[in-house]
Amino acid sequence: MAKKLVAILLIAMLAMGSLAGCGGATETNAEPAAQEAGEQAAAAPKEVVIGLTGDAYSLDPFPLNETITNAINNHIFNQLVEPNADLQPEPALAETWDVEENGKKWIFHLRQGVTFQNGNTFTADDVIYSFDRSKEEMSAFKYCLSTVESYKKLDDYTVEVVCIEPNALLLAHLKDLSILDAETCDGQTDDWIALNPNGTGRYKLVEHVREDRIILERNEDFWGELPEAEKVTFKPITNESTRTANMISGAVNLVVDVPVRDVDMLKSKENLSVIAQPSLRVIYLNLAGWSDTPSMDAEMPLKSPDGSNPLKDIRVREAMYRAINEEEIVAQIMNGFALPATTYIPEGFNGYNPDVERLAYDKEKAEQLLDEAGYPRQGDGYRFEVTLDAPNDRYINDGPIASAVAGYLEKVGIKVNLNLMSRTVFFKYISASNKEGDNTHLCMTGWADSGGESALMALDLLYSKTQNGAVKEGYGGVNRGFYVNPEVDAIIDQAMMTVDPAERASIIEEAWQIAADDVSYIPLHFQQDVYAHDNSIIYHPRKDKYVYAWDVEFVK
Amino acid sequence: MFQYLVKRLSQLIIVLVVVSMLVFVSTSVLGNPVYLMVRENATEEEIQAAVEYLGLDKPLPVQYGIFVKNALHGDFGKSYMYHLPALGLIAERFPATLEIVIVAILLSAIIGIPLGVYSGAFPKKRTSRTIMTLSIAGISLPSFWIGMVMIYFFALYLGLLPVSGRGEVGTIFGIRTSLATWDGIRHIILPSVTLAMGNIATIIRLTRAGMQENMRQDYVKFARAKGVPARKVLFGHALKNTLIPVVTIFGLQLGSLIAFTTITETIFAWPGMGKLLIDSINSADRPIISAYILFVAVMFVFINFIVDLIYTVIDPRIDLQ
Repeated sequence: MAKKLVAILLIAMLAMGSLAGCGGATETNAEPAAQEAGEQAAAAPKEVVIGLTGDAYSLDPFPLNETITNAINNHIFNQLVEPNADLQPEPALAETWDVEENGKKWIFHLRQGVTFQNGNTFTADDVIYSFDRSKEEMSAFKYCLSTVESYKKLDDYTVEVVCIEPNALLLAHLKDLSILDAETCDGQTDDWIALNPNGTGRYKLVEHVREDRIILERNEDFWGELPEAEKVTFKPITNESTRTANMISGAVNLVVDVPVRDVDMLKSKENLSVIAQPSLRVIYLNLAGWSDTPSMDAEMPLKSPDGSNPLKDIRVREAMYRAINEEEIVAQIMNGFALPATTYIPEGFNGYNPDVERLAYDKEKAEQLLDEAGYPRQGDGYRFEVTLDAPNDRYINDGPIASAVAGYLEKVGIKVNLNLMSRTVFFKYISASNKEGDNTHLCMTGWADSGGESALMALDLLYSKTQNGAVKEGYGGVNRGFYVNPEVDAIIDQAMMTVDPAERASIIEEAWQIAADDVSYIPLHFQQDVYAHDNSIIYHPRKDKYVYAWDVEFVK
Repeated sequence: MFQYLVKRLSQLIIVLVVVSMLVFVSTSVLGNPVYLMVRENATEEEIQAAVEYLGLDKPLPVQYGIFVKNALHGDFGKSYMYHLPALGLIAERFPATLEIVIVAILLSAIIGIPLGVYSGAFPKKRTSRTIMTLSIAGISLPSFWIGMVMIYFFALYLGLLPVSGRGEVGTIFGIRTSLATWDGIRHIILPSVTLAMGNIATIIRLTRAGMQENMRQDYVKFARAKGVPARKVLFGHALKNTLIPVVTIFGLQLGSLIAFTTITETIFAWPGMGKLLIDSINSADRPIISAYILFVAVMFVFINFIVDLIYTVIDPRIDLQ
C-alpha cells in the first residue's frame, strides 16, 4: 500500500517538474525561433561573428556604464555626437551646434529626416526625454549632464543646453548619452525598455539569448553611411582559452582579448591574423607626497625613521621612479604587449605632450637621491617602509606587476609591504572620495578615459585634492596621491573655458609638463589590446576597445 | 507519510533561515558593489546616490529584514548589473543547466553502473583492472583540464564537434531545449561528458565496492547454487542490494551538478546558472548570489526528499517514519 502511494507521489512530482519546465519555457519563448535566424544566415553573405569576453548586461543603454554593454548598445542607439577613430566628437544626431559665452550655452541643431527603427520620427522631444532619463535614479550616466544647469527644446529640431559654468568639453560627455524614442519608452517600465530596444543606430536587434548570443541585422534606414556587415553575431565567451579555440575552429571571425600566451600559436595559422592596439588604459603608481599625514587611520602606515613623510621630497619620488625597470616589466610580465608610458595621456589625445619623457631606469642614481634626501639605509638595510596597495584581478597581470614594483623598490632599500586584493574590495579600500577604509599612501591603479581629451583627464587625475575632500567639487576625483598644485589647477580651469581644441591643447600641454616635473605620479605602461581575426575580414580596432561591426572590412 | 512531509518542510524552513543569514552576512562582507557600478571618478554625491539606490545605507539587520520580507513575496531584488529581477534571471538560465546535467547524470548511470557491476563481479579480470585504473584518472583529473583537452581533441584536432556555446534550441513537448535539434545535441556532448567524467568514475567505484561485498554473501552463493542465471544473480540480486548508497550519491551529484557547474559552463561558454553565479560573484551582484544560494538550498532539500522516497521503493524494509 505504502509502496503504491510512493509511486503515485513520484509520478505526481515528475509531472510537476515538467510543468515547471514549461513555465521556464514560456520565458525563453519571447525570443524569435533560432531556426529563422539560421535561414536568414544562408541568404545574407556579409555577416560577421565576434567573440567577446562577456555579454551586454542590458539593452537599455542607461543603467550600466560598461565597455561591452555600451559598445553593443551603440550598434542600436546613437548619441548627439559620436567619437571618430581619434575619439574626437563628430556630428551624429546633432548635425551642427553653436557655442556661445565660452561654452556656457550650446545650441544643437538636430539632424532631420531620421527615424527610429520602429518608424517613429526623431525630434527634439526624444533628446529631452533621454536627457531626463539620464538623470533618473537608476542611470549610470548622470555625469553626462552634471555640469549642465538647464536644457530645453527651442523647436522640433533645436535644443538649447546651458551649463552651470563655461564647459568647453560638454561634447566629451554628451557623446556617452544615448538617445531613446520618447514615444516608445514613455510610460513603460525599465524592464520593458531593456527588452525592446528601439534606436536610430546602424543595427537593429534580431535576437538576444542572454550569455549565448546577440544577433543584429543592418538597419537599412540608417541616416548615415551603411556599414558593410549585414548581420553581426556577438558571442560572449568568458574563458580566454575557449575564445582562442573558437577562433581556430572558425566558429568566430574575430575575437578580443587574446591571451598573450596564445599569440604565437595563432600567428602560425595561415588563415588567421593577430593585431595589437595600444589601449587607453594606463597603469601607474599614486604616491601621497603632499601631506604630512600620508596614512591617516591606516592599519599599515608609512613608517620612516624620523616620522616624516619621505614621499614629500621630490628626490624620493624621483628615486622611486628611477628604481623601477619598466622595460623589464613590459618584456617579462607583459610579454611585450605594453607600451611604457610617459604621462597618463595616450598618444593622439588632444593635448598630448610629446616633450614629456620617462625618467630613465637608474638604480645607482636612485640610491644616491635617497641618500641625499636624508633617508640612508638603517641597520636592517632599509630606508623607510611603505605599503603598496594593488588589485590582483582588475588589470592585465596586475598582481605580478605590483610584485615586481615592490621588488625594484626593495632593491634600493625601501621596505614594501605588498597589499594585494580583489577589485571588489580594492576600489572601496583606496577610494579617494570615501572616508571608509585606509587612506592609501602608495597604490597601483589604472585609468582609461575615452573622452579623447587630455584636459578632462587632467581634471580627474591632476586637479588638486586633499585627504579631506575635493578642492573644487567634481574635480580631482581620482587624484589618488592627493597631488596639490594651484598652478596646474589654474591651467585646467583655463582649458575648460577654451572652446577651440588646438588652443586648448597648447594650454593643457603645460600642465602635463609640470605634473611630470613634480613627479606627481609614476606612470608604468599602457596595456595593449590584442585581437585575432580570420583573413576573410580586416579589423580596424578602436582605441577605446569598443568593438563595432562597422570597423570590420570584408576582403573581396 | 504526512508526518514525514511536515518534518521535511520544517527542516527546509530552518535550512533557509540559516542559509539566508549566512549568505547575507558573507556577501556584505565580501566586496562592495557600489564601487564597481559607479564610474571610477565618481563624486561623493554619485556614490551616495548609488548607495541609497541599492539600499545599502541602512544597517545590516534592517537590510536583512527588508530582504526577508521581499523574499517572502518572491522578490529577491533586482540584479545590480542586469537591472532585472534576480529570480527571473536564474529561472531563465535553469533549463540550459538542467539539460547538460540530465545528460551527464544519464551518462554516469548508463556507463557507471554496468562497468561497476562488471568490475565488482569479476575483480580479477584484466578488463576490470583497466576500468579501475581509468576511474582513478576520471576522479583525479580536474574538469577544466578535461574540458580543454576535449575541446582540443574533438573540436580542433578531429573537427567533429563545435567548441562552445549552446547551439540551436528547439521545442519538445513545449520545453525549449538543445536536445531537440541536431545542432543542439552536437553542442551538448562535450560539456556533459566533461561534467559526467568524475561522476562516472565515482559510480563505478561505489558500485564495484558494493558488488564485491554482496557477491560474497550467502544469498548470492545460494542463488548460484540453485541455478539462477548469472545475469539475474548480478543485476537482480546483488545490484539491487548495492543500490542504496549509489542512489544517495546520485542525489547528491544531481544537486551539486545543477548548482555548481560553474567551471564546465565557463569553459564551454554554456549559458547556464553556474556561469551566472560566477559572473555575479565577480561583480558582487548580491541579489543574484543570495537568490541563487537559497534556490540551491531548496533544491537540495527537495532532491533529498525524492531520494528518501526512492529508498522505500528499492528496499521495502525502509520506513519513512
